[in-house]
Amino acid sequence: MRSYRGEEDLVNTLRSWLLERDFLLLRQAAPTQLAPYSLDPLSAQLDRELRAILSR
Amino acid sequence: MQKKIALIEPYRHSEVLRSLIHLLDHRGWRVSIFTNPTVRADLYEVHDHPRLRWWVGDTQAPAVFLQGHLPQLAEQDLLLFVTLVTDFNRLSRIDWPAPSILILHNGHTFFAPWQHLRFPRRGRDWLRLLRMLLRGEPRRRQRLLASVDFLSGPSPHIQADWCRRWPQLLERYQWVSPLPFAFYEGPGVERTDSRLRVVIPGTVNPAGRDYQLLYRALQRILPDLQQPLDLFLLGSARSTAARRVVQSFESLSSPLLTCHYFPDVLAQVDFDRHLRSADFLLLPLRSHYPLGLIRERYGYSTISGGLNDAQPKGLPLL
Repeated sequence: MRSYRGEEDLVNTLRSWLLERDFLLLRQAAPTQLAPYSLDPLSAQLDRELRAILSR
Repeated sequence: MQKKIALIEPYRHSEVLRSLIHLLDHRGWRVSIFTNPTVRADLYEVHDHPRLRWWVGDTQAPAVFLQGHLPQLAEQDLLLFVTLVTDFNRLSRIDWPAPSILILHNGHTFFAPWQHLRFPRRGRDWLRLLRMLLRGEPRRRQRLLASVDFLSGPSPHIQADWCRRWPQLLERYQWVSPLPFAFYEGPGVERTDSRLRVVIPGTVNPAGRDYQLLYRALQRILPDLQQPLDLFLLGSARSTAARRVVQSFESLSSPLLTCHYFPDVLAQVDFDRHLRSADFLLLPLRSHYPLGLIRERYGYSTISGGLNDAQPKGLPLL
C-alpha cells in the first residue's frame, strides 16, 4: 500500500504508476513482502490465539 | 483435538467471513456459519464445501435468528461475531452458550458517539438523532459489549489506539488480538495485453471518498497517457451522488480512457473477477466518513474494506 498526501503527491504517484508502470515493482515484491500474511502463518497464528482463549 | 467454532455474520462482511473460513478450516476447525442468504450467495467458492455447516436465515432481526439456533450454538467451543450492527437490546439479553468474541469495526460508534456526532443536515438525520436519543442507542451498544466475553478490534494498531485513548476499555472488557480479515493467496494471473486496468473497489460514496481529488489528478495525467486505461468504479453507483461521480469521470476527455461503472450491487463473483484482473487499486479515502450520524476516522477508529480487497492477490494499492 502506498498512501498519498494531497493532490501533488497523488498526481506524482499516479503518473509514475500509469505512465512508467511503477506499480509492477510492487506486484513483483508482493510474494516476498506478503509471505508472512499468507494462509499457513496466519492460520497458525489464529489457531494459537483462539486455543489460548479457550484455555483461559 | 478438533474444535468447533460458529462464525456469525448477519450483515454483509462476507470478505472477512470468507477469510476466516479458509484460515480456520486450514487448521482443522469445524466451522459452522450463521448468516443470511445474501452472504451465503457471496461465498460462492465455499457453498458446497463438505466440512462447513450452514445455518442461513432471515437476519433482519439477528437476535430472533440466533435465539432460534441456540441448540446449534451450544454445540460450539467458540462463537465469533464478525459484525453486529443492529438489534443490540435483544442480542444483549441472550445468554450465549459458549465463549463469545465480538469483532468491532467502528470505534467512535461504540466508544465515543457523542464526541464524534456530526451535525444533522437533512430531515433524515434529525430523525436518526431523535431515534438515537429516544432509544438510547449508545447505552444499548454498551449492554451488547458487556454481554460478550471478549472484544477484538479491526487491526492491532487501531485496537492499541482505542485502548490508549479510552483507558477504561482495558478495565471494562477483555480484549483478544485482532483477527486477520484477509490473507495473501498468491499472485494473480499476469495479463498480457497492454491495457491498464485500475479499480476503485467499494460502493461509490463521495461522503467517504474524495473522487474530486482523483478527478483532478486524472485530468492532469490523461494528456500524457500512452496506453488505453480502463477505470472501474467497482461498486454500486445507485445513489444520486454516485451518479454525479460517474458523470464527472465520464466527462474526462481522453480517447484512451474508458470508465466502467455498475448501477446496482454487483454479484460477488463479478466483483472478484474484475478485482483479480486489476493492475492496481485506487482508494481515494477521505480522512473521515459518516456512519449514520457518527464520524469515523480511517486508520484511527476504523479501517477501509478496500485493504481486504488488495491483500489476497497482493495488488498494489494507492
